[in-house]
Amino acid sequence: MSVETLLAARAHVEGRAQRSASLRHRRLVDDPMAVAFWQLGAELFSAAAIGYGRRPNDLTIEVAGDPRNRDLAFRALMEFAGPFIDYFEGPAQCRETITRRTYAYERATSIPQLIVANSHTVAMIGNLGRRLAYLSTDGPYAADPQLIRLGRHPMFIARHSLTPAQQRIVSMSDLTREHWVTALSDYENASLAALDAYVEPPGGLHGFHAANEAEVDPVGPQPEGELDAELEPLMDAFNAARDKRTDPKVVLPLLGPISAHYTPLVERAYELIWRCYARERRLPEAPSSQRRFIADCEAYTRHIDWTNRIGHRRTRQTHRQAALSIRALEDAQAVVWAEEATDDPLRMVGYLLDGKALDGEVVRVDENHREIVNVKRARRPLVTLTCEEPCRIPRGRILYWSEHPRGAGWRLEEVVAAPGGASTVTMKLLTGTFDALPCVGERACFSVLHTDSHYRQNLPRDVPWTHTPATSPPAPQDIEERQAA
Amino acid sequence: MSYDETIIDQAVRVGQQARTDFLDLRGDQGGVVLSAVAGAGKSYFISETVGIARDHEMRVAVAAPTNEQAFGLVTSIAELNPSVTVTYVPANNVALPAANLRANVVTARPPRAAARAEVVVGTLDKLSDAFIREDLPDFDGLLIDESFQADSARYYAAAAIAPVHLAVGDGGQIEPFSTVQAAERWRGLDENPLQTAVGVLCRNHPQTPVHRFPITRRLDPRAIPVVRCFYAPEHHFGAAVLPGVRKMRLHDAVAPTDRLRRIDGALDLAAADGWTHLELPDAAVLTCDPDSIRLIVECVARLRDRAPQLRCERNPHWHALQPQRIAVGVSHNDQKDLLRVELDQVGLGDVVVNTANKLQGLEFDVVVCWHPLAGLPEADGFHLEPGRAAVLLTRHRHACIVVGRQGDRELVEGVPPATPAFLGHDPDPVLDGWGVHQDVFAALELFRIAL
Repeated sequence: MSVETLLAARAHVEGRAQRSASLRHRRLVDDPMAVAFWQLGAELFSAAAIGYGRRPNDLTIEVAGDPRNRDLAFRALMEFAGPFIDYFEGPAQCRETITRRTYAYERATSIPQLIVANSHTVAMIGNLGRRLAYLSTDGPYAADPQLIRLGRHPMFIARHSLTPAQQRIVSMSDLTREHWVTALSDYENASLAALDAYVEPPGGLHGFHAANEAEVDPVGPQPEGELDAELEPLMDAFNAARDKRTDPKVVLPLLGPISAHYTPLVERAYELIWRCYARERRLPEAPSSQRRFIADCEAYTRHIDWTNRIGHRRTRQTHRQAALSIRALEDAQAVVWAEEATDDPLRMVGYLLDGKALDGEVVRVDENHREIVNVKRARRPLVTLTCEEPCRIPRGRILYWSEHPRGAGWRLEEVVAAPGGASTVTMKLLTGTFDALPCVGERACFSVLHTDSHYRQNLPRDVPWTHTPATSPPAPQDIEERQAA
Repeated sequence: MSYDETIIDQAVRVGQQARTDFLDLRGDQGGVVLSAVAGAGKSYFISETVGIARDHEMRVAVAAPTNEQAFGLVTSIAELNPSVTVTYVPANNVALPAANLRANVVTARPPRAAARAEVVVGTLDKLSDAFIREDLPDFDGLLIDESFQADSARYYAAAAIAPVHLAVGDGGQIEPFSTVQAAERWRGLDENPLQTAVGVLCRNHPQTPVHRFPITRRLDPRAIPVVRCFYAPEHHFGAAVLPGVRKMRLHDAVAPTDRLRRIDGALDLAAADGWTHLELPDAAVLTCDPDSIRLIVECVARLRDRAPQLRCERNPHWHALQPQRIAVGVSHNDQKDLLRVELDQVGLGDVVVNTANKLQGLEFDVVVCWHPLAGLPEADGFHLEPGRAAVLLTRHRHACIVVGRQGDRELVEGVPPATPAFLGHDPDPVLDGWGVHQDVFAALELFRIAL
């Protein structure tokens, strides 16, 4: 968007990031849990080190030793599972009853919120959940049920993270990028350390140079540079000393060097997460965050109830589920864009520059304007604005008043160019019933954005023949048996 | 003689075979695919098939992804089959434009008014919604136009309308896409809701007959070398019209500036060869680049000033090019809006301006195409999507003027960027687009003029 280009240029000139939002568009709860992971470069489904805590000065670090070993990886995760499950399931105890006409249901009044460094950590949490949630609790490789419970929550978190503007898990680099514009490339912006340095460059440094220095130190979860090369001799020594044993009594005393390797890395990521959290929390919260928070509470309550009653979840969706999911996500995204821009004038600037919105002073309101609609006369109020800028929106376009983004549409009826590049624009409300109209002397903004619910696709329950394979795929064979054969 | 009879005969045979396959399926369950290039006469084929299906006493539903496409189908079917009553099933807030209304067209409002109709036409969404609500009964056959534009989710909703399907479409046009990044979650998987209707049909029923129309009626032979870049090599096709049948002539005019002389040169080249690739100097610019807007408006205004005249196989006498037969094709709505305002200001209000999505299925005599890659600092998936360029470069009957920047070609030079890999069948718009744009730029080499 062109406004981002402008802000990026200003960020470069001023040497620090520029705000692209005057409000905070996500709720940051009072009691989040910060989680920082590190993994081996070649092992994406295990955690080599986990740092977590609910206060900036309350960090707990668990180190697996060698996460390629299942027992060692699970041991570290078991240490994490207890505090995590307690935190994650806690808010579900406090509920309120919601009544919708004849239907009543319970909803948690709050949510547990994970704050992490970046979207790679969100993906890793999803991978961990996928690995743990389907473990068997019997047989020769029986897993502790606590691990499976641990896995089901991250799977839900990762899936829910696809919902636009959800607040269950907040990636600090994504949140910061949504609120600030830097002159860094997308690749550089992906580094939370670089981003943070550009937003608050230390000691009078230009943001670019501060970011350049900061981005040398990664924040995980994937290792960069020589990190794994430095770890390799430590892990070799650890494996040699434990001599294939995984008993905690043997392993724990040997973890010292590996812990010493990971501790500064985890501490740095953890400190950065809390630092960004504190900075963003200082901003006033956008009003529409409340609607999304309620949606998060409902999804969370459904997840906890399902986990307690049944717990099983499909690994893959059906055609019908996928079709409904993508429409729901697209609807949610459209509503979030509209909410953010109508909440926040700074967010609306981009739409004004792109010719998707107009803003001006109301100079005339004809509340009782009537015209023939179909076959009879009906009220269609007219509002005339004086805009300081030329209006580049074509006549006939349907726009929505930003004070009532859920309301009926307004048709752009007339544009008259005024001296000095200004324009006089007349808007017509497309209904005769309304709660409020813009007032003469006030400013009003009309844009293409509206927060009304969109079309919902109606899908049959039965899978049509077109979406059913003509021949069934071969039944899956047990992976252990296949390898033995 | 205006037509290439060999190509027309081949097309007739392919069409007949596809239609026979479709009619033979009656009483059974299955689909037939007819893949065609731009301007192959798909709507005519569907209209003709509706008439023949009615001769076989089949009740048919005809669907398309968008309202505009459905409007066109209503008119086309009604005109070709005057004895057939065509029932249009609209959404609540949609009305059939007066220009599309014919004596044998009725509108079913509410949809249950179409319960006894023998031919219904509507969007995929509307027909499927009415069917699921049991406002519409089962039909014997479902014909889907632009079925490469219809996504699997919409097809899922509409599939049960009839046991026998005929899916017609242009495989080179814009693939279904989503506004959310999270859609990547399903890439490569069977349940991917963004695969095309044809894709999901052929994936689950690989025995589905796929026919390829070997003809384009819209484009003339001069357009073929460029347009061929957008289609699979195994899809052979040619122009129905013979070389030299379509002609455009421009009046001479005095050009007081060097810039205008170059624009005149570009228009002369387009009139003679069917193509011009007009390049502004290299620069990374904003989406709504004012220089590109100015140049496009200048081109269209200059074209008008030079009083273009056309002749073609439909009208062999010289006749004036009407402004509504000129289109400007763009990639973004904000480009469209700005151009609309600028063109209106110079008295070109009748010239059509729209995005590639909305131009799909439409035809013009002259098209000015704002190249999707023009002035980009970096080529991304959206702008590289080969279907977008394919739509913009295949709407014209006489000439296409492509407006871009000199740096555009460099965007797709060398090795394409690494893109995420997804298991399963998964066309990659970045990799596909990279190769297609290289080929298109090479094909436009002969028609390039620097401004």
